Amino acid sequence: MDDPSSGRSRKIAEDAATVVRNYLGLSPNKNLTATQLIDELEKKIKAIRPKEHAAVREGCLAILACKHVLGDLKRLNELLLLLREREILESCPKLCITFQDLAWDDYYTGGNIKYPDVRALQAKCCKPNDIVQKMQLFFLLQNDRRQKCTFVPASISDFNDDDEEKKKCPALLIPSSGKHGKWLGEALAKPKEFWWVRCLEFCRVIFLVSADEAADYEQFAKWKIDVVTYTGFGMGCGRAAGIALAKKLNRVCMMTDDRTVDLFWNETSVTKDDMANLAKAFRKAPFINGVLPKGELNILTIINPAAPQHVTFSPFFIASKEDKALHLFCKMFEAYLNDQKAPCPISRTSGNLRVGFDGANPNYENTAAKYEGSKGEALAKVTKCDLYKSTDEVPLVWDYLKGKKGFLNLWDAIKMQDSAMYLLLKEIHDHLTSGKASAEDWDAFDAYIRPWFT
Amino acid sequence: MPSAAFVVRGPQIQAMEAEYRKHIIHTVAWNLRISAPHAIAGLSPAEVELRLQAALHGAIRYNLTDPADIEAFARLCFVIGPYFDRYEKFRRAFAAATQPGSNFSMIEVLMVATPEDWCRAAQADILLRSQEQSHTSAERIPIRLETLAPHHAEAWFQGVSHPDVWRLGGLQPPASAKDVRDWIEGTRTHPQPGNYRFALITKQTGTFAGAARIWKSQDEDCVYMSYWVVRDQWSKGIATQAVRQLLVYLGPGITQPVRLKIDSGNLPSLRVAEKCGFEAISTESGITLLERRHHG
Repeated sequence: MDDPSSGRSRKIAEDAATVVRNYLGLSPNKNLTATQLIDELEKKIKAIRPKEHAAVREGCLAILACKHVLGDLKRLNELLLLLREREILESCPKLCITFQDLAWDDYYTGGNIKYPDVRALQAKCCKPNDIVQKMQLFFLLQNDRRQKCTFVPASISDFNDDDEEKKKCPALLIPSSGKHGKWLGEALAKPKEFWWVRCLEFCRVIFLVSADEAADYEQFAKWKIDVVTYTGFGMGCGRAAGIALAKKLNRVCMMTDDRTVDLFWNETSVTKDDMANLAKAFRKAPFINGVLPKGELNILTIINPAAPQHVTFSPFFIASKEDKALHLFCKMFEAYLNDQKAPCPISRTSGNLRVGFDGANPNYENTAAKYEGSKGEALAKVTKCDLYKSTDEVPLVWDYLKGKKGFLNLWDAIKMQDSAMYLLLKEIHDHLTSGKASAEDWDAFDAYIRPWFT
Repeated sequence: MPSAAFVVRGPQIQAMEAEYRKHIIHTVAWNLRISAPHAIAGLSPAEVELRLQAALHGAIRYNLTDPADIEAFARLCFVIGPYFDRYEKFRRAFAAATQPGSNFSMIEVLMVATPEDWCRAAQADILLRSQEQSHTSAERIPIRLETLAPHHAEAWFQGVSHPDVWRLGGLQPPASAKDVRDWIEGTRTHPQPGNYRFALITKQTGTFAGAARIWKSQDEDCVYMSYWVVRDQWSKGIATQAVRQLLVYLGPGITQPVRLKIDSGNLPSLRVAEKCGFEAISTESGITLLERRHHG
């Protein structure tokens, strides 16, 4: 039996850390020194030794707790993510995700399927099948993209110029990109065929587009369609920008895509009155709501900023799975809140709303595409990531996929990565919602999963 | 020629500032009794006063006027030690504070320190004060070993609660005397073979002067020993006597090496070990492993 004083004490360092924390919390007028402090932390992280992780994190958290560094919060958060990545890689350098390295033709076996799943996915962990390491791997995959792709939500105006009638209805938010706005032009020419075009009379309609593509959407100002831009690209970015916009508008919003043809309330196309009633009804709903037939936040998502707990789409699902991934996160987050004895519904699928959508996708073809500017640079970097490997651990990087597997379009390689990330998240979800998650599992969820969706 | 108002006002402001600093420092000491009792428990009133004075003089010397700076300095005088500012790395930072026109703030010190620095600064502070005392008291107090028993619990708790003892030894401050008593009783009702614990008792007065232990390693073919000495009995040869008596207790027939693990910053204890025939064989994570092969 060890005596009550045995074991090497960390008490001195802990006491000193408390002094630092108190100091930062107490000291006024620390704008200058807070910046110096973050510079110092950055230096420390870059030259870090394994045993210093805890101390540096302590320092970062102490600063986060201080109001006076709000301006540097983003940079500080990035440092924390970097620190966490280093900790993970030191604890298990071989972490990666493996799956069958199929040729393009094996993924896309004909028809109009645009988003095939990868097969035989397995997370390579140092402790086989360890759920915490799987969460760490998901963190690495997301963080790799964070470092290669920029995402800055738009600076959004108030949109308070709506007349009272429009304010009664949900705002329609439509993330859109590509094809130089061509599809949008077609929809506006056929208002009877597109629900959101019909809604223009009584709803505020706002498009969310990447700043790089903003010019393509200027032509629609005459339809009284607003365009909000953000820095970044990809499906998750657009939808995350939509969530930020909904919170800013502080009213029930419906986020959908520009090919949505109808929304049915008890199997009847919604009217202006229905929309006003839906806005009232969804003020009492959870933050995020899916609509039949797919649910899972697919195609049309209703957002209620009045709900107490908020989530967002990860901007780092670029080409696909951003909706399904958020759905999984919501279910995990609900289980987490239950575990914390603070239950709160996060997402629901509405049983009496159904969305009609244009499912007539043309056959999907293997076509070379050129991506320019910052988007092209980011895509090239993302497809060089060697955390994605074949089952015999060949890195599935772009040169390999193009040279050996017949890929012509970078976007298809990204979709392959998105699919792998999603399936990994699904494994994590299945464990965390099984009722078997331990306190350690939930701590890992908080550290490695939650930052990407909240 | 300065105005009368200026002449009168200067000393008044200085007096107010001194009162202000004193108030902050005393508040820190009061708060620490609640938020970090292990930093104060075991200190005599004179030792508390030494820390308060060190905080006050430091605040003046380094021209600390921001309450947060004064408070941080005072806290460090308690949780690291009254002479923490003399640790080499900190001394360099504080040197800037004494320059004319300096805009020094405690952030300069708080951010250069690593956890290892804090530990080393605490140990350096203890050694500095210990050296000052050893110049005035060098008498040798004879001791004997006594099997540790529940009636030693209170003194054991008081002794190891002194911050100098647990900090220099790299120990955990115990939570309560009851924990100690429960633990001692547990060792008697469930004795472990090859594991012996002793109280160090002064021969003349029967006073509890520290504790020692020997135990057979589970993983290695060796015997370990450890010891600590009550703070006001330091520099009286007690640790050296304890180690020698433990070696006698083990007897001349023992074939296994005897080992000690000592915090690398605990220089007095390392000297005791060397004096008793131990040699350092490795140092890892701030702990020096010493071994004695030829004893008796």
